[in-house]
Amino acid sequence: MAFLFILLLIPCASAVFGWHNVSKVTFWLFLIVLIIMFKHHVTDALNIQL
Amino acid sequence: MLQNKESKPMNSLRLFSSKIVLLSNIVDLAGVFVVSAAAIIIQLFFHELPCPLCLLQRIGLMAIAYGYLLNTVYGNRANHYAYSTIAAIVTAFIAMRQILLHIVPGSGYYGDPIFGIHLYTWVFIICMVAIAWNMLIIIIYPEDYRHEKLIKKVKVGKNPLVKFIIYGYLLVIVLNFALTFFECGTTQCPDDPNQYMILNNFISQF
Repeated sequence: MAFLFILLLIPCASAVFGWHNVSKVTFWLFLIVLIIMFKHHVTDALNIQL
Repeated sequence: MLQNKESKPMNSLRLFSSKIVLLSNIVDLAGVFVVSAAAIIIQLFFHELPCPLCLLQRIGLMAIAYGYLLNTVYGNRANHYAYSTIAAIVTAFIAMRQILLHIVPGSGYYGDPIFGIHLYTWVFIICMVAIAWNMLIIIIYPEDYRHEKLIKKVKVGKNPLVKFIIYGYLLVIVLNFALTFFECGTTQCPDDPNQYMILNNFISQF
């Protein structure tokens, strides 16, 4: 789960250092991984399939 | 061909409103920075380790600030608010999941309440406020996004306080990464964590 923070750090740091496009692409990547992690958490905890 | 026939007072009003909206971005970013820093302080000094859903909500809150960070660095854009809104929607789902876990009377709760409301409920409220705020700004100041030159005049990113908030926000993300790594390593965190697994394993070797 710690790697999610790194995935968020990449778009934020690249935005601060002026790489706007890199920032946007990596933020989408981060959001997708966040949603997948949440989906796994829900399905694992409830032992169901969505 | 369209010509700009706006009077000087109108331009000054636009510049003033741009400054107000940019200032609100800095305040929002500072708010997330303070809340995240407070969460780290509570974790370290009161030994309240975050559960997996709490961590996801913490990450989500910081992701909401991403849109405000872009606005602060590059100036106001509607799509920056959209990033923030999408992050707020995802975080609201995560917070709602934890609220529903504890909504049945007698099913317990996680962590101590603040002002009578648990942290996951606060996160849900913050997400809803963030979504409403982003929509409100886009509705109220739609003209800001068409006046690129006007926006570029507002150089708030060079202010030392703003720099402190921006780099503080990045530092908080790095600290959260370190603490989460010490707590659960690279795997998913346990549902009810009570120790820093990796740190304790490392110390026990000596």
